[in-house]
Amino acid sequence: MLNLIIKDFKTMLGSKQNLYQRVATAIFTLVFFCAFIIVELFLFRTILKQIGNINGAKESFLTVFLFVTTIILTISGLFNAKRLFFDNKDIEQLSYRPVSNTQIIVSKLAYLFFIHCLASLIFEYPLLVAYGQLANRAPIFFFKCIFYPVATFFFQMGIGLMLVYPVWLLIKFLKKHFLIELGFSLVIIFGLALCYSYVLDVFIKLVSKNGLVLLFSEEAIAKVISFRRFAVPVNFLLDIFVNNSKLSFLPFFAVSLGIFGMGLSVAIYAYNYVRNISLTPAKTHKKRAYKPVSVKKALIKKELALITKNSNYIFSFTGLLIVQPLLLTFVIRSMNASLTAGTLQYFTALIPGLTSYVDLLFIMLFTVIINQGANNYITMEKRTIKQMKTMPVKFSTQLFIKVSIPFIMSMISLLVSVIALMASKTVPFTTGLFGFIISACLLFIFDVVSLWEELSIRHLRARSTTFSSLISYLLPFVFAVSAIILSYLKVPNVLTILGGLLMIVLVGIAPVIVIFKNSGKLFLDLEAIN
Amino acid sequence: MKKNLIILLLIPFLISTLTIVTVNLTYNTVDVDISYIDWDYDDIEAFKLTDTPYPLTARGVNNRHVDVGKGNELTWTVSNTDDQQEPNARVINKDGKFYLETIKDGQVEVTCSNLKGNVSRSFTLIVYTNGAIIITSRNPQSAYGKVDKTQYYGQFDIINGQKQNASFDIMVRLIPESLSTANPQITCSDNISVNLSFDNGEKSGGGYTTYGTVSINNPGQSQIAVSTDIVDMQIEGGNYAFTAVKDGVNVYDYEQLLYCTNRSQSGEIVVLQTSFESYNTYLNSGTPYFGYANGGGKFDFNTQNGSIYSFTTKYNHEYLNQWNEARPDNQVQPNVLAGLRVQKDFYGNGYQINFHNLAYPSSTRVEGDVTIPTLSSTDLFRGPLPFYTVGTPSASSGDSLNIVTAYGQDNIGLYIDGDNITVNDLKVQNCDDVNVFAFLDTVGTVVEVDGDNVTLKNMRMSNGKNVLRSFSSQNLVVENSMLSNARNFLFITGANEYVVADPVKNYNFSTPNGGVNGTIGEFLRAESVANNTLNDYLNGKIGSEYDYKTKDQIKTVLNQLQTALSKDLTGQYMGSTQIVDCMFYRSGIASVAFESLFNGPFLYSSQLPTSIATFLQIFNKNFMPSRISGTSYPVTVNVSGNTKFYDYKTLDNLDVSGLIDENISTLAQIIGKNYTIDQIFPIKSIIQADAVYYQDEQGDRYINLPFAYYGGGQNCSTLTFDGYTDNHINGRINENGILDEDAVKRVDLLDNYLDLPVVDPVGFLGQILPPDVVESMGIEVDENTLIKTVTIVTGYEPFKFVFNKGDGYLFNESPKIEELQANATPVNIVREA
Repeated sequence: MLNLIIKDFKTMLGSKQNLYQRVATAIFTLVFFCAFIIVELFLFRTILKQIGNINGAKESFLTVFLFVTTIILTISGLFNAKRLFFDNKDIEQLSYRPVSNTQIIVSKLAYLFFIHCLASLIFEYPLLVAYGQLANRAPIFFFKCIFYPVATFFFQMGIGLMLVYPVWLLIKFLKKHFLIELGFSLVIIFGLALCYSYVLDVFIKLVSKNGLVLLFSEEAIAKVISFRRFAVPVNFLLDIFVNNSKLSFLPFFAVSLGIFGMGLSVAIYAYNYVRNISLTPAKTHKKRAYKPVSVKKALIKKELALITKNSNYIFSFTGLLIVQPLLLTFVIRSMNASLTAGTLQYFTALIPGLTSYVDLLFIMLFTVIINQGANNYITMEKRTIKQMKTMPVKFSTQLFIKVSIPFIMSMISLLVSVIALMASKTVPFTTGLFGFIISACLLFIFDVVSLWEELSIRHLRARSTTFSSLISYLLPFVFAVSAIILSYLKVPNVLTILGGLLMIVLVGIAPVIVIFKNSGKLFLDLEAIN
Repeated sequence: MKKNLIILLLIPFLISTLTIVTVNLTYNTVDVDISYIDWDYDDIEAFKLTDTPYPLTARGVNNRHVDVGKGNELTWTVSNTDDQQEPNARVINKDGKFYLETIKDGQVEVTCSNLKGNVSRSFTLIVYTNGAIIITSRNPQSAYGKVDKTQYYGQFDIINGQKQNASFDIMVRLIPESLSTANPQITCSDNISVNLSFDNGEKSGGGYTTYGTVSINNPGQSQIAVSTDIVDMQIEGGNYAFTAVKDGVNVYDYEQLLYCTNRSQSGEIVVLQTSFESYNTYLNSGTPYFGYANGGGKFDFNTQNGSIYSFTTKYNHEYLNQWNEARPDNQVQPNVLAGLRVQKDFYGNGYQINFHNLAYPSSTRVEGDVTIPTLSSTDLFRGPLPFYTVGTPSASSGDSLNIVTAYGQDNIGLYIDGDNITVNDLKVQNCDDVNVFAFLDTVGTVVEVDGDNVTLKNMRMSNGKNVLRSFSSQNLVVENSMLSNARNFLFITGANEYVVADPVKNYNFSTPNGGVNGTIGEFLRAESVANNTLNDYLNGKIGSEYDYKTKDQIKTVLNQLQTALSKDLTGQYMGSTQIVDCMFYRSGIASVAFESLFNGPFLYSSQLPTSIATFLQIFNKNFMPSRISGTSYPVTVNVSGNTKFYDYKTLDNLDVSGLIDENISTLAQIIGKNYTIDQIFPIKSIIQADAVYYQDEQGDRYINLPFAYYGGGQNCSTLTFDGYTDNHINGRINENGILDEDAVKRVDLLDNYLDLPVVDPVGFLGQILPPDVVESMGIEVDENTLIKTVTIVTGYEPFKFVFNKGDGYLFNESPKIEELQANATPVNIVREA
């Protein structure tokens, strides 16, 4: 049983990174979690202090925060369960081992329980502690709340397990139907982008008109208080943990176990079913007629297929490229609104180019960060590196096509974004023009450096992203900060921007030349996988 | 990549929170009184003469349910209303409970009021032995009591949008019920007719009640009387009198109110028959509310349906004109909003119009233990229009963060627009009572007069940024009225008209390097003597090592400059007001203010002084208006009769933060400095030495400041006291009603500013401005430079203040409604156009 649990941990958390990268990832994750918790607690405590005097408001805001985390943890639990129960490799391995079904299910549930409790302790327990402090609760409250994650497990995981099979089926269906998957993905991405823009717009309008205080208006607080009754199951849990309602305990526990039971039944049934169909031999694919095409055309087709037909890329690259104009317009518009309102307008008055430079920074960051989704040129080949190295096509041609496809796609998206920004009068013509030129230069340098990092991948030495990260983050920030300082010192904007462009070109030109020179050797040194 | 993108998408949220401005309000709390008195008595009651006293019950209600201050306990009084000398009844207080003891037959008025006496309500009581006849309108009288005891009805009603001869329902009650069989007869004056039958009444409570309708055929004094065949014993009561107002229109609901005001081209004479309350009061009492409710206590006011009246400000808006021309993409419309536009006479009948639903911020927020009213995006009353802004102007206080905004005209509750208008016995306020005057910042002016020969009599006006404002209105008479609870001033007056400095006239300026003769424009050129003078002034460069050896030397030139910017308009009054028998109760600054335009050199030419121009150009985004101000025409005010000032406050509670909208203190907070409005606009500290104080038993010192001359430009307005009988003004008033010159405390800002030392060679501005800007300003900047910069904009003509004597007269007292009632005279009902 213990071995099974360890195996599940390895399946879920294991990676191909070396020790150094694992430590780095762990540190980054830790910092990310810490930062998240600090922000979460800061917001929560600020709100609670603001509304502390209103009867029932503290509990209601606690409900809201816990409800949001509950939704996130339920979705997270759902996808964890999906990976855990329906991992083909895992199913295949276990099918040949003398392990009972019960043991497999129990080990998976143990893993889910552990992860859920850990996440709940990280994200929810601090909220309860903060509330307890501000509400002057007795020490027993803080002890009791340690068991909050356990209490939430059955209800949340029950929901997750009930949905795990339908979600798995949906994803499987989508993967088989490219166009539907693309459409579905785009709908989701557009939906999320529109939701984001709506929330951002409302927030900025409130803030830029000094109306954030309205978030704490009695009317708004009354709405939050009335929301509490809909926030199932958090409202019941708070009755138990905060209001010490013993009456709520048994009904909630019974309902939770009921939901968990139903979820578990669905998951066990689905697991057994999927295990059986996984072992059935796959159907043979239809043979397609061979159409001879030119080498370059075939390579371009292959690269396009890699990027567009892979569901990972749809979400992390292609889809984002499509919504980039929309997202960028909303983000920059909101940034401009922020910079010309409240206390920041003083700084805008003192630094005439502040708005333009912040706009340029965001254009650059969006361009390169979205492009990061498709810059694993060699990694994406997996087992086909051998073919790359042996095929009678010049390496330069192969690499050129590999880099240029995502580069051109990013450039088109950048161009459309800049046109959208200028057409919607979000940025002036000069900012749009320079935004395009600078971002294009940065993107080019970034792609070349990324290629070099990819070509440098060796056995036991995973890709190092240090240099490309410096290019994608540090360079835009250095540019923006320097430009802001120069603007403060009243250096004309055009001179500043041209200087910044020159800086980017100078920083990028040396590695680009070196990489071009060494790319042949690096390509030859690539290790093929059998 | 996904994490990075999420972080990128979160950045706008984080950055935007940096823009939040913390607005520091001064929480000078004031006591709140009860809003009205609630009871179960009818307007006319009849008590049988008996030895057993009748218990008197009522309760004081605050419409916001806040705790009321001391002096709001209820008390009862009774007085005869017939011509009997001996009292017909008296009030007994037994263990804190009040009873009415009947003594003999007759009519009395029973009054319940708070101990302060500023809230009261009365009913008529008939004390009878044999019988009584009550005749009363079925429309209940105001819960706030009437000041003018005359009951007014309009000649017309509005029915289906058409004017028709008015009618109203009455009730006749005969006590005992046996009177109904004694052949009761009803008679009335010729101008009315009564449709009432004694055959189909109902018996209840020992009496016989019947209902009828009074139709008004012609205007005039009107009487209704009921008599019986009984002649051998005295029957009390039996009379009802009212005045039918010629062309007057009775207003019973909001639609009718709008019909007669905002929706009428030339207006109608309004005869109010109901109050229009805040939504809170409506919830408490069921009285109609002001405005169109659209659910959840929200209101819909707009110009399309006439629920609000909008007009272009008549105050100086040259700055806005220039701004709108220079910034067509960010215009600020120079429009003022009014809740009601009154164009004809207005008879209030003691009813109240409370503009709370329109004027008060519709949202609130909680800071610590204070609930603060907060403007929501849909609120229309958002503070005065800007007269001049350093930074970006906005039509809404607090909507954008300006450096300094001097205010122009504010939005208005009741806008009296026209000549020869009388408003009588109306209780009007812009919002429910507040316990912090800073909460009145955006509620606007309560009553604004914009016309000649306007009379406001028997009025109760309260709760506004300014309560009464009259600009460029001749012969305004404010008579027997009470003005209370103003953020700034209870009455502010001045003129819209002004004269810009003469650009071609030559002046002599005696500079240290010899006299300079030239026009104001020539003198104010950059690199000129004037520029150096102003820079030396700002920098405190006065002494043996500088051009200006003495303060007097630089003061002379600065005064010459201010004189050249001004025009002597003495005696050219553009407005006049008679204040007769009025009561002024609680202001944030002073009871009465004479305003003149700010008129500093910077408003004439924003290119000078170059030091400040460089600094301000940054915040004005290179918009540098010119010749936007001038000298205001003067007005005159005469105070007469028993006018009283119940306006005591400690100097600490004198709050000038409502005079200008400044964010210098906010800007200073960014670099960790704390400034207050009193440092930036140091009126309080300057008048401290000259103020006349009353010291109470605890040793606390109070000022009572009835009059202030406000504005940095020349202020030639005059104040006289012809016929003033309740004089407690500090200073001698001569036989012509003129106050001795030395009684007017002059606060010479220039003297004060010239005494300010150089504090810190780098100081405040040096920390926030780029080095090149500080260098190009050419002066050393410290916090005193900043303070003096305000005078370059406002001008530095002396502010003047007139204090009451420090004799404690009316200290801790409140105005009494009873006094207003005793002094009330009815309106002359037939007014020829």
